[in-house]
Amino acid sequence: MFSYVARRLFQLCITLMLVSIVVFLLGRLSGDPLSLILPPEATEQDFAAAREQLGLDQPLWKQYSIFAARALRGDLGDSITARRPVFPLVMERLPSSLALAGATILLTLLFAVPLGVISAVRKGSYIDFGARLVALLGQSVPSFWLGLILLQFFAVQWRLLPFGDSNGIGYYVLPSITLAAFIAAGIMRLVRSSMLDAMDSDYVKFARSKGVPEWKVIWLHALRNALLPVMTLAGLYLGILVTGAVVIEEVFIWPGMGRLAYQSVVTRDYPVVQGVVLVTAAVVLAANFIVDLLYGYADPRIRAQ
Amino acid sequence: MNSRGLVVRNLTAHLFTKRGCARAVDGISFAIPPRKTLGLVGESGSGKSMACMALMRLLPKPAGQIVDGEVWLDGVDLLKLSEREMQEIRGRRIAMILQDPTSSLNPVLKIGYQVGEPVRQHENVRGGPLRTRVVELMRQVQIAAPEDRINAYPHQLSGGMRQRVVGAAALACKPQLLIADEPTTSLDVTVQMHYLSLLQELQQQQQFGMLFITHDIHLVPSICDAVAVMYAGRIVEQGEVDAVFKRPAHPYTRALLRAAPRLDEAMESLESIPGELPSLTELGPGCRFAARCSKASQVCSDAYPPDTGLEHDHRVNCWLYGQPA
Repeated sequence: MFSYVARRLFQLCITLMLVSIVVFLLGRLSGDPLSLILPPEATEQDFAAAREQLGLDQPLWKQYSIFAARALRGDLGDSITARRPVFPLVMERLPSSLALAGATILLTLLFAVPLGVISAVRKGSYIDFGARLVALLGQSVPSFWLGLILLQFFAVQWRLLPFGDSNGIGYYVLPSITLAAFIAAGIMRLVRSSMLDAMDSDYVKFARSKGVPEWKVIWLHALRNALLPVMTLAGLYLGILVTGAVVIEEVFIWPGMGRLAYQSVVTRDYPVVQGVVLVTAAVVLAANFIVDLLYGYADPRIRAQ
Repeated sequence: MNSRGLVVRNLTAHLFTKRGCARAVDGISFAIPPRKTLGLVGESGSGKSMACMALMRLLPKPAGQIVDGEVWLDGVDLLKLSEREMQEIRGRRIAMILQDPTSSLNPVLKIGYQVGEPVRQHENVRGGPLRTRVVELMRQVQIAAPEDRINAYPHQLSGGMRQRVVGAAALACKPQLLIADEPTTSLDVTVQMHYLSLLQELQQQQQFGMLFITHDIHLVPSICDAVAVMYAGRIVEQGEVDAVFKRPAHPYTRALLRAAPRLDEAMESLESIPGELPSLTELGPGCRFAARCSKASQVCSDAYPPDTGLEHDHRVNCWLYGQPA
């Protein structure tokens, strides 16, 4: 188990380094930031001076090593528009994004897993048909549209739920439902198909032949196996949620990383963009790392390898 | 029905698939007296495994259905029990060993839990006493260091050990009848015989009856008291092992005996049976082996041969012996 953890941790560090290189290079390729910082009437000398002052005249590898060394100390430079250090700026947005992602995953698992199981066990029934129809809808309806519709009815017209902030459980309801609709659909379909496989297996037959009651066959013998691929998908979705909630955070005016990313891209505040991307990558990798650990816990065969 | 042991009468189970209704088990009858072993022989797809699953009432749902017949175990017709009552029978009165131990053990649950499951279920034993019982069960099937192995997972054991663990789980509650569905087919040749002798030893100790399913007809004499030969969903010949092996009556039985290699007889070449099993969804009225039978005549494809008694309990379904009606 120890070597398994150590190996995963090593992979995580390498990946993070590669991400930082990509982030750094993309930042340099997206146009000259000086044209945004300096006033329009700036002269050629002003540009040269600013370039020297910001270290932009140095070779790329040197710029990167400075960037990486600072990043390791938590120094990601200053925001051009907010004129504050980037790292705290990003980090103060992180908790509400993580909380929204967590709430969404929780909501998803709460609905998608039981529904997928029932759908598989009652294959071909009306419940199965209904669940698959809802899943199809969940995957085909664009999230921003669903978000706007929910917002319009539940928050604006009927005033049942608040929006525009993140302090309080009520604020989580609409955005997490919106995000969960898409993700739950995918998870539910995966649970259903892997449950169908599991229910057809010999170990299920053998468990039944031992006199194990059907509910235990379903929820212990079959589901324990069926959840293995689901864990991987849920981990991937967790990553997508932290980054991909950009549009939804914008719709619900959610003070998270997605909105910060959107705003900093619009204002070409590239230190902030870099910071957001790096921190997001770290979060996604951490999420996958946790999923790997859980996977190792849930599947004894993985642990042994 | 007051006789002891297992009595199966006219068991008929169909698989209702999109391509039509497959008559996988089509009116089979046999009996296994207490402590006796019946060998059920036939090639792959002849309906042997379906017959087992039908006995356990574990046919794949919703396609598989028992449409007719009786399955008496010590005077109780299992087919008339509720699902709840049947569940009490499974693992306690009838148990089962499947062909492939790698897939019949749950990969994510510990060996000890899987062996103890019937005990936990039927005898409501938990904790320390259950542990002691499981260790004892595993020792019985000759698993070394059972105290440590109860915490192992299936992938940590060898194939032979896994199948012994399956045996331990099946026999945990001392059932009267063990259905062994090709228990050695997926094992290495070197451990096959070991497993079979272990099974016989356990049968001596625990006195259970056994339905031993195999496609290898030459395993039968060393294990079984009686044998039934199955072809395309029907039993075509059955009787005491001695009678059937010394005087095989049905052309299919004879072909099977000629097609399998034997160690104790020098043979120049093995014979294969020409043709293949008929589709179970498109069966005619006649004998199912007729198309592959060298002795077939017109009557064979027109009508199903009657059940004919030869001597003692040796019975055959073949027009060579029965009189055309």
